[in-house]
Amino acid sequence: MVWDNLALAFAEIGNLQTILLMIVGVGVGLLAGSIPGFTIAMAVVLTLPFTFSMPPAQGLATMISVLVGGLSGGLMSGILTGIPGTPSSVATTFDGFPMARQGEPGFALGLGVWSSFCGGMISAVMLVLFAPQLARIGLEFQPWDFFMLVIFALTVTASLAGENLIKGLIAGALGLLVRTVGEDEAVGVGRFDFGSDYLLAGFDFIAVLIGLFAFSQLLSDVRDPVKARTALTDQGEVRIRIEHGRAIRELLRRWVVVIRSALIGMFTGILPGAGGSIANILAYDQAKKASNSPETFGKGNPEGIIAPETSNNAVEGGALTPLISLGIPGDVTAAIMLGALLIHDIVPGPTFIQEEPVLVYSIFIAFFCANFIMLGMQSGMLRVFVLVTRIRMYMLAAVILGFASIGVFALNNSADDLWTLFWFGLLGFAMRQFGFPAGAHDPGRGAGQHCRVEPQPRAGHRHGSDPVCHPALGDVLCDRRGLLGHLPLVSGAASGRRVVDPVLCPGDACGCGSAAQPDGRDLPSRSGGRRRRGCAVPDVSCTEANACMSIDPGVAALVVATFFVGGFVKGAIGLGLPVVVLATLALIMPLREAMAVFLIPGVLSNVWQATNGPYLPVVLRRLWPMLTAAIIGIVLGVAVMAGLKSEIMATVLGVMLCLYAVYALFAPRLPEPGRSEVWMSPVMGATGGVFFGMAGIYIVPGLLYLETLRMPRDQFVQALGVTFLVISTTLALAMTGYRLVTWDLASLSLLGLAPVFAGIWAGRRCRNLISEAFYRKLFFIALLITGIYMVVRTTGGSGGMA
Amino acid sequence: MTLNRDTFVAIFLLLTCGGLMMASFEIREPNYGQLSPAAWPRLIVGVLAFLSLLYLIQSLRQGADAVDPEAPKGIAAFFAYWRNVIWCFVLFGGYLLAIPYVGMLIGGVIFVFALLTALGGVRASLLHAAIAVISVGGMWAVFTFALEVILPTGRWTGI
Repeated sequence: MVWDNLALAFAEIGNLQTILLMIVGVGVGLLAGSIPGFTIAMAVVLTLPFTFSMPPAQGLATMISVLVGGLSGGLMSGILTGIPGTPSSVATTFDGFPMARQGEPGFALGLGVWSSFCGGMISAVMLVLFAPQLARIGLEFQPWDFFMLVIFALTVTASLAGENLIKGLIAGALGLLVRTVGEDEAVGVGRFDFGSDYLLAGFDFIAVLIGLFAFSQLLSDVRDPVKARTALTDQGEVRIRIEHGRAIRELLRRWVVVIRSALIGMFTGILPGAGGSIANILAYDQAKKASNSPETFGKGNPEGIIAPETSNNAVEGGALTPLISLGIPGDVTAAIMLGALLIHDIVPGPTFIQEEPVLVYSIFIAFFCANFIMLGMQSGMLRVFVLVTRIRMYMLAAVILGFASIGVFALNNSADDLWTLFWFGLLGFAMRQFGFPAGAHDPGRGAGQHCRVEPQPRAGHRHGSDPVCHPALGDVLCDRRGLLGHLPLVSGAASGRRVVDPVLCPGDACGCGSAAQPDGRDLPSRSGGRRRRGCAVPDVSCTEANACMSIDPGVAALVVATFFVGGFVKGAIGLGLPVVVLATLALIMPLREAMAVFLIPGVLSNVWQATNGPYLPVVLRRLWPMLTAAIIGIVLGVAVMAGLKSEIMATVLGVMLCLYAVYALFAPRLPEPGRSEVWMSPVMGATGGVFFGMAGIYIVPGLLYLETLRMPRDQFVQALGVTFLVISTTLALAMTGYRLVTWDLASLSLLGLAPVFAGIWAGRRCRNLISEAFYRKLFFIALLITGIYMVVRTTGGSGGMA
Repeated sequence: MTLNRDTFVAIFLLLTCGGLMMASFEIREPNYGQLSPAAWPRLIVGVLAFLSLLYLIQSLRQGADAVDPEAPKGIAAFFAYWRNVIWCFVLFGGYLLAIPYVGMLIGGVIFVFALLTALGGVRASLLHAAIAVISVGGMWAVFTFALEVILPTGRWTGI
């Protein structure tokens, strides 16, 4: 089946017409990227009208090509002229321009081109690997999960507002407000139309986007009459040969920088609202911090080019991951892609991969192909892209406005959309002038789409006490023109596609009208896919307890508090986060679930520690036998844990806590392994891995063994980060593989993210108030008491764990 | 108390919220046993009003704006400063109004030419005319013949 779909996708992308369109798309993107002031989002949004008449795969492939080209185009002008073509290439100029001025422009360009290629390819691979996994979790979404998702998207987008959070939130609220204008699709009542037919019809999504991002940007670019008439650069003839061989060798030598920057780019891309403009600076900063010679940054250090260019190209793989798997756009360009899909009546969401496998594979293939095309075109057409920067901005602005008007009219063959473009251009310009981020204007559009519209059950709702199940909240979140607004599922419902009216779950204790059929079968979703049964409270008819787990507000509050305390301890004494969290959560929920809840903060809290410092290669070279063995051990441990009773697991955890606390409080320092390290590393790694897989704690013997290696302090801290990052990630994958992570638990895990970082920050601030020795003593005594309590309780004291 | 630019924006937003909240009571209640269609807009307006209030407080605590030496002083300077932006809006608005009479092709060519000349000066008029004809004509041809989109024709011109 997979191969069939893959073959079909290749047929979609592999034809001459699509390849030609992709070449044109990459060229357009490279041109757009090389022109300072012409944003990638603008290029992609202006491409959109051309894709109307194309098949979906072809249209998306064209847009992806523009995007990939745009992400890479900025480096040309940045390196050769010192003016970054796009915000994504700002950091590239820090070292690229000095290197070019030192007489090595060919090497600088080679590094940029190949770093872009590597970043794009790494993110494409990760997109292929992660998107289906994420979608699998997304299939278990329930009302609470959607709620969390929407809040997450809103808050993260708003947090990217820049200097002023309130302005970001206001921009977001304005975006939501705009969506309420027009006819309510559920009952056909006009809202905020003031008697105008134009307002009653509502605003077209794409016209709004073009107005906000293209029109208003152009106005800002031509505001200054002198600058508008001046050529962007005075770069004349360019006769440079890109040094490919030397650049590739340099990249291979600095593979750690490439991988780290790609990961930073991917992660930044996944965050709603973040993008290349943030990723390239972050990656540059990390490269500088991790470098042995940070003083050479800004003077032509190759890593100063590799890091930003790798990360900014890796961003889009990250942004497309939540779009493909959950239907949430990771950034503005992904939101435009979403618009492109909607135009073709295709609804991204958790069921997208199941329903449209050929299209998804086509996206993957297009992403790979576009990177290869980009590599070829950047190498072959360097001179053209640099010459483009000699164009005067006012010419571009006038021509683009003319293009935009024709494209926007073609959306719906409606002159009203042209007025929408006009008014939102004005609004976007005003927002820019007053410091409101236009990008935050439309937050939650993607997230909101997932809220299912349930027109029939509303009348039959019985109001329960659980706020998650409360129909009013459901309506608020699921209103057709509200949070989910314009997007997919609503459109699908409105167009009458494959809609099945759900009935109330017979065993539904809160009466929220969960969408299960009486015979317990899965329901088709509004987008036509299969949906899990939607019980949000424990129900005797639920066969999978985890899937139906209730998230009590009290539990959520305790999780938040626990993660804060765990983070505080980690911030104060440098360790203890997993111990505190698991020991506490295991008192209120089965350890298996506590481990799942710990996963996301566990992984993310170690990313920074693992990558921040110059010792990553040293640590990896020394610890790889231990880490490899630990991975194998964890897989075994999780296999055992999946079949174990919670009581036994909790006992193991309790014993571990006691051993660790006793050792830390009373035991002498263990000797160095010396030559035995060769065989002890894998043995200790595997043993620690098994225990970690079973109980989520790596301290005995893993951490104790690490301490015996007597690394210098900074190296040891980074080694801890690397170890915990590797083992936590492995645990997450293994538990997901055993279906031990449900979306309920993942939601709780996500909930713990902010308090962990807040706790770490607070712990660091308080580190100097009391001596670290006192903190440690206090911590280990508390740990010992907790361990003893757990052992006593699970071995007969009070009849077992929760 | 010293007001600044943000204060005026915040007050404007609060007034807008007030107006919209009043307008939300004009939304018809169909009474289909379902949440009112006005509930969601009211919630958003409420949130927006709250945020605007915070913004107002923040702006009041901020004090006066720093003096921008480039900021225009007087009406003439204001129009000179924003000349290009005003040209863009006026010409684009005029273009939209003219489309029903002259059509998108001719209207587009005139608009692009006029905007190029307004922003770039009359000296390069010939170049501007060529750019306008080629860019808009090319785009019009692509949409009309390749993508088969029927673009608006003018009442007066028939094109």
